[in-house]
Amino acid sequence: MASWTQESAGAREGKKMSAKQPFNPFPQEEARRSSPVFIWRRHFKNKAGVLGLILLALVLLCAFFGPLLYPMNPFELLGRKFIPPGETFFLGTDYLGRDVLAGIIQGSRTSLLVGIMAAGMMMTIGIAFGALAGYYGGLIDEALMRLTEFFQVLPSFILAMVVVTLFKPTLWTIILAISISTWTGTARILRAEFMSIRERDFVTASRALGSKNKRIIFREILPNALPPMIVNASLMVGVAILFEAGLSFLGLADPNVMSWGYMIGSSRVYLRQAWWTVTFPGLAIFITVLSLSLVGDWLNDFLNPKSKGRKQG
Amino acid sequence: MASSSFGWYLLRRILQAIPVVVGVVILNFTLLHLAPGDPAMVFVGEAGGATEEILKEVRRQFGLDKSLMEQLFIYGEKVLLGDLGFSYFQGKPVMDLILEKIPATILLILTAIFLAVTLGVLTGVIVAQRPTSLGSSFITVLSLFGFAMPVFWLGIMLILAFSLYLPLFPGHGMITVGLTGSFWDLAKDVLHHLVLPAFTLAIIYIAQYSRLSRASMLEVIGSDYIRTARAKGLSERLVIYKHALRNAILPVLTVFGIQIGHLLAGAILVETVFTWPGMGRLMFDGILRRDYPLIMGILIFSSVLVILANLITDLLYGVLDPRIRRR
Repeated sequence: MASWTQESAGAREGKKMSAKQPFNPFPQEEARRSSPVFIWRRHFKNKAGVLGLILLALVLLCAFFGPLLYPMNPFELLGRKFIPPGETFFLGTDYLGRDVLAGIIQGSRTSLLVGIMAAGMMMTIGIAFGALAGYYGGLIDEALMRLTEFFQVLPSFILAMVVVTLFKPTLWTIILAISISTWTGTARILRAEFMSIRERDFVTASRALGSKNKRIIFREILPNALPPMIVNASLMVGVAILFEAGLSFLGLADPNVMSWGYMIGSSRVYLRQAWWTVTFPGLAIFITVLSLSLVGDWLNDFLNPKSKGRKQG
Repeated sequence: MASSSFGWYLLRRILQAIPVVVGVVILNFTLLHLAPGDPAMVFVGEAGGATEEILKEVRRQFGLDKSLMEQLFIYGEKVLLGDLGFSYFQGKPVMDLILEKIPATILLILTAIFLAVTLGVLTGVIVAQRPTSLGSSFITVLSLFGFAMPVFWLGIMLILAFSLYLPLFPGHGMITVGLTGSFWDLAKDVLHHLVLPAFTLAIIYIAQYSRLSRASMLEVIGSDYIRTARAKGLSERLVIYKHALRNAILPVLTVFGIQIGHLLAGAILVETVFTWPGMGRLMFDGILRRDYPLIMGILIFSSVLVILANLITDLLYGVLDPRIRRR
């Protein structure tokens, strides 16, 4: 108790000395909270989040260093067909004698590339729509939201399939198709954020200082609307990876790159002879998307502590 | 009085759906014209034995020598009259092909929804009645799995487990080839074939419905009319399943309307895995052969199906919750 009065007195004095320092009655507490040990304890208490981070790190390591550590061509016929997992081929070979492990490693690159690029693109579209609609309101909001609702009604995966088929499957058409089919959620989240932040005092203050709309949108509101966007991004990468897997499973894969969905789609008819050619790529998709979703939940607790437990109901 | 207000509500909802249908037509038209290559070729489908005569006929039919606006009107009129084009691969109008295959898809989807809603709502209600952390962890884990599991891979794993390793259920097709017998024998056979695909599709959604119904159940259970019902001395079962559930199920209905498109896409993947002879199979064949009229037709058809499903859920909502109609 005594130490508290001392500290707060000190803080008050500090406030007098320099007006820029915000009033802080608990400097010690703040120091404790910003210590790395505290952050570590607080955020790594969440076991699911830790599991997600570890899994995600594994997937990223596999994508970055896998091809260096295991430089096998996933398209090359390296052995007999249908060799079960074992010593020569850790995860076995497929119906043509291609190395399944090499395919998984290459596939991790494809999945992450498509996932990250598509999520980036869909977030860009979503942020543009959400920010304009939420900031300006009125007719602009009405028009943009009608368009968003329209895209929300469309069966997104079927739209992506049609776009990829019409424009020939390459990595870029796949990324484009995924992003134009899935941006609506982001737009809605961001619009809601903008509508609420727009009314805050600091925005009014900025406007009173004569800031232009562009500055208010990009420098004042958007940075404050980012936390839910970061959580959304990790989930969207997962969604995009699932979309890519589904498309390439149906044969809509870029023929020049190996992907997990393609591995499953092309080997599934040999399920009776070789379970491993289908099981491992699917497991890879599952682990990747699971890790992203766990990390997303963890980020949500971390960035929006108030919404803690929201996902549980 | 009440019936006329419901009539207005119905009319308003139908009028709101019209621009969406028009939008779907415009989107399809735009995609057709943005696609690389001669639009006539796109209408026919790539390398579909398109002779010069067929191309000429298509150009005439769709007015491809006229202005874009006129073309859009010709195309729109055709689509709105139910003409979704002609599949030159299969030698049949696209609409006929879809109508042939849609019953199998609807059977699959309805069974999956039935399973997902019953199992999901049931778990949600049970967990809500005894709020322990174990129950909510169970639902959380289930929904994580439901989100991260690629539905087609799940189907293949189920085939591996319950069709190849433990031969309990057939892993492909809808009916045993060459089976004859009474209607009931056939129905039993189809049902047997339906188990694995329907469960595959349902598993993805069970967790979502249980999470949703748990949340809304917890909210409803805390309300005054439930306390009144309990105070009247009604049995707990009656309170939960008759009084509370009716209100708690509303959000489930809304989500279902939103998810119909997702469900259709899932059905396409599941049908491909299980060689279920529905619209998904048709789509898969269309993709393999680059049969553009067919896949565009399926996009239009499924979009309209989703719009209709949304309309129906909205109307059901109006029936279940009379407060909605007054808004």
